[in-house]
Amino acid sequence: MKIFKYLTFLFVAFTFISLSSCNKEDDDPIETTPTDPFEGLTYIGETSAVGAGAIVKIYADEELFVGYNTIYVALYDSANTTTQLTEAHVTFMPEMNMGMMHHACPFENPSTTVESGTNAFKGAVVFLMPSTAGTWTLGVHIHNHANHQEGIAILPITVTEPSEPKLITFESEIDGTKLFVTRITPLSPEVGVNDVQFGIYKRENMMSFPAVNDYRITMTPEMPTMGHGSPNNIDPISTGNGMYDGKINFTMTGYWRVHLDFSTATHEIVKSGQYFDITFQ
Amino acid sequence: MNTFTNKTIVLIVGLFIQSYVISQETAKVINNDSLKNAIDLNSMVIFGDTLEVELKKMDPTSDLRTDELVQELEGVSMIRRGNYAAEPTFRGMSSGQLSVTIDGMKIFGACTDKMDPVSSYVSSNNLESVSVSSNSNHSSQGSNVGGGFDFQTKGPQFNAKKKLTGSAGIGYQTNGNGRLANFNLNYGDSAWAVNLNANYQKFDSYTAGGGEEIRYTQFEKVNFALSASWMISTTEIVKAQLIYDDAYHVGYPALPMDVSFAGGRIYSLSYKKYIKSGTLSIKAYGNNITHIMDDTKREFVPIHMDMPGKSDTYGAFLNAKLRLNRKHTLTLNPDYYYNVSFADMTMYPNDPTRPEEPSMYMITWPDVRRHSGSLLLSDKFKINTSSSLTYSGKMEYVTSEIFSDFGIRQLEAIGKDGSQPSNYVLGNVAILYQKEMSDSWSLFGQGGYAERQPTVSEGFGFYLFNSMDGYDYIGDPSLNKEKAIKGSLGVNWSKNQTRVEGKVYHYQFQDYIIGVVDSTFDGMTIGSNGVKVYENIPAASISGFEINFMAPLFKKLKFQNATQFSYGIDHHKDPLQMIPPLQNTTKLGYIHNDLEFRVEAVLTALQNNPRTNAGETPTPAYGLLNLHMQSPFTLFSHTWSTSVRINNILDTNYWDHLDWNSIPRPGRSFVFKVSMTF
Ligand SMILES: [Cu+2]
Repeated sequence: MKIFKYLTFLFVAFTFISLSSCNKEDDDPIETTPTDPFEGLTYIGETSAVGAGAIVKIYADEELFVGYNTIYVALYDSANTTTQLTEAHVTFMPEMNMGMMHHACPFENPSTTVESGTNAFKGAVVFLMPSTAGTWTLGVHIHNHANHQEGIAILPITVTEPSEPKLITFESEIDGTKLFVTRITPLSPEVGVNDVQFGIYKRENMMSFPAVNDYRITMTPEMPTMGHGSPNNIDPISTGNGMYDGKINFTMTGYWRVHLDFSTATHEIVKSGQYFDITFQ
Repeated sequence: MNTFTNKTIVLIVGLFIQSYVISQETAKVINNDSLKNAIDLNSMVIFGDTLEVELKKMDPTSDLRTDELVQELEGVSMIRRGNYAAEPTFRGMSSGQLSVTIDGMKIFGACTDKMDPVSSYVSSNNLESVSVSSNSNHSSQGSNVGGGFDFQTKGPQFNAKKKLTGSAGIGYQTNGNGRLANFNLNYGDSAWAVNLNANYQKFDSYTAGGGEEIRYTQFEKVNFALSASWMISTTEIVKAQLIYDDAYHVGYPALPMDVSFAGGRIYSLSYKKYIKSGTLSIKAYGNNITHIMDDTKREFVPIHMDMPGKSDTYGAFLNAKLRLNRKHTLTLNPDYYYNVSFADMTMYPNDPTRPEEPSMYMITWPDVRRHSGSLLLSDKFKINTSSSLTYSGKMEYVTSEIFSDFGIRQLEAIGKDGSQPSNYVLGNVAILYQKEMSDSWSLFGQGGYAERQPTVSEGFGFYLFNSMDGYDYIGDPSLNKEKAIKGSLGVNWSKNQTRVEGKVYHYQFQDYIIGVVDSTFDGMTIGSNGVKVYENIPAASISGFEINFMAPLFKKLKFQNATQFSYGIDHHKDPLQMIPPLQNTTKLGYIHNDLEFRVEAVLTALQNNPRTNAGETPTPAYGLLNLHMQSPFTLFSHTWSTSVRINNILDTNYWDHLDWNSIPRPGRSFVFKVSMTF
């Protein structure tokens, strides 16, 4: 009886192999290349975290820009560069050197667990200026849990201004605090209902930009060219970490302006008359 | 009298003797000039409420346009948006409430702004008859609550004395520099018949009464119709038909846009068999309607827009008419059609400071695909020699689904769910009782219940601008069907050539579909007043009457007077929109030998019951005087006909309540026409 089972298994396996080998011949180039886990992401650069025994490779969703950038930190053992390190503690230290002064920017440190697929540590950095105004470096502090050593990787980076700003800066009308608002989503806006996410940060000092979680946002989309808006939008509300989530509706493609008014939880006006432009086809 | 066929009948319809060309298809010839026979004939062509059907016979060389012909029918008023393709309404009901067919074929206009009513795709010189029926259970009608129009085109004629016959005519209209031409060629032997019909019209802008030029009233139109019949046996005919209609540079002064091109391609194949107890016909058809709106010829356009639309319909039906016995005649009519409607809109910003700004795009009819299947059963029960009862029932299932994801997302953005198909089960019943009280008195009573599904615009339209009230209209895929309970009573007295007929009617609507202002939406069109969303309002009603009187005054002088009135209100007792005011038409005709002379006076009362929130204003009363003369002569052994028409002799400056945005209608105009038959 057992022999019969084995024979069946062999037969099935053989059939399977011969079929898949047939397939290989058919569409050889596509099937044989293993998928790159970083496919679709933009490679920013790499350097070694001296002391931590790790090579740090940085990826992002697109070339770094002024605004909220999702950053993927992939760590490799410096002794064996094909081994990806997944046990580590990663923190960001972005800095801009403007000659006379240095400053940092808001960021979200990655969690201690890696993303499945890329096995990278995923965090975010909100760049406040383009590289034309100075020199940006992205410092990444690594605590390598594999060897319990620490080190810092410092990568020079280039930050560009997107064609449509994704960051607005203003001062609070209440206490003059410098505030930064970034539009995170929609990444690729389309006609219909879109998730919309904003991040709000304030400047505590040149090196500290904590998230602001207790504001209210009133959001009004408009098509300036035609003078109309869209109905049924849902104002973004705070969901923690400086994030505000809502829904924005576009009734047609083209150039939209999203008007934003900010106030405190007690309805004190922080700033009104701000906007983001969103153009899509 | 008529060179077209060997079988000619003469009917009086309205005042004048007009020839009715009847092909062998109908296999029945009536040679009598009483109106009653006209009605009987009518009932042969059209099932049902005989007395409610009006028939207008077409002169093969008619100098009237299709919309001008339709307007002559009792209960009919036209909505005008320009000088082209007026939209017929019947007793204050329009578009989705009526079924409009050409030879029983369902056709749906491709314009989101209703610029192309179905009647615009058939040319007057290709028409055999136009009928309007208040019965919702007319054969091969789409769902409707108000009844429907059917345009019967001329078929090819078999067995002509001469195998090759035809006609050709040219004309000129002074107001608007109108150039007209038509042509018809028929070949017929005992087995084969082919007919080619052509019509061409080109008009510049007309001047209103008083001399003001009304810009954007020009149009150019060409219509070809080719049909061929093959008589397989003495009881079987196969017929193929093709209509090709193109209109160019059509101005619509009541709208912010014109039409650069409107095209219709209409084709069918049908089979008809005469059996001992009746007829059996099967038809398969299709039509492709294209509509391109254009504002590039307009001045002061804030944003140029392209607004093309497409409507394709394919369908088939079977119509079996069986005389079961002396008392019962049964009609069985299964019908199926499929329609795809798509329209979109691209807007081109022209801000010189933002040259990089891309065009804006939205879909106004989101690829709506609609399937409809229906079954109609009716029985005409001859109770006795003087009375009959016709009762019918129809069930229809209509399902409409959006096939554009973009369109579904658009609707989602305004809080409407278009992801699921909209399904409707529609039921219609109608009953008609007719009785001849005496030789001269007859009466009828008609009652029915009808339902209709929302139109594509009502269900799925996305920011469709209506320049009448200045609102953008949004459809709602979850609308309820519209329902109507309707009844009419009619009485007819006729003796010799004198005839009086009166009808009263009432339509009680439930879930009446109408645009209701929704201030949560912004108007999309620049300068619009806001947004109206199609909604079901709980109730509405339309009632009215029609009176028709005709009599010979002297031997050769005939008099006709017709009055029609409709009154419509919604559940708040507010007037409905597009309700024609009281209208009276008097015609005086003189016929001597072949010379025909007619004077027509139209008096329309003030309409001071406008629906103000639909942008309507009171419309002043007006009076019109028209004159028509026609005389044949023989030249080079051919029969020629000349006609002279003077429209609006008094050069009245006027517009009708149903004319959008009170655009004045044409002032005085002379129309000359010469035609010959061979
Ligand atoms: Cu149009």
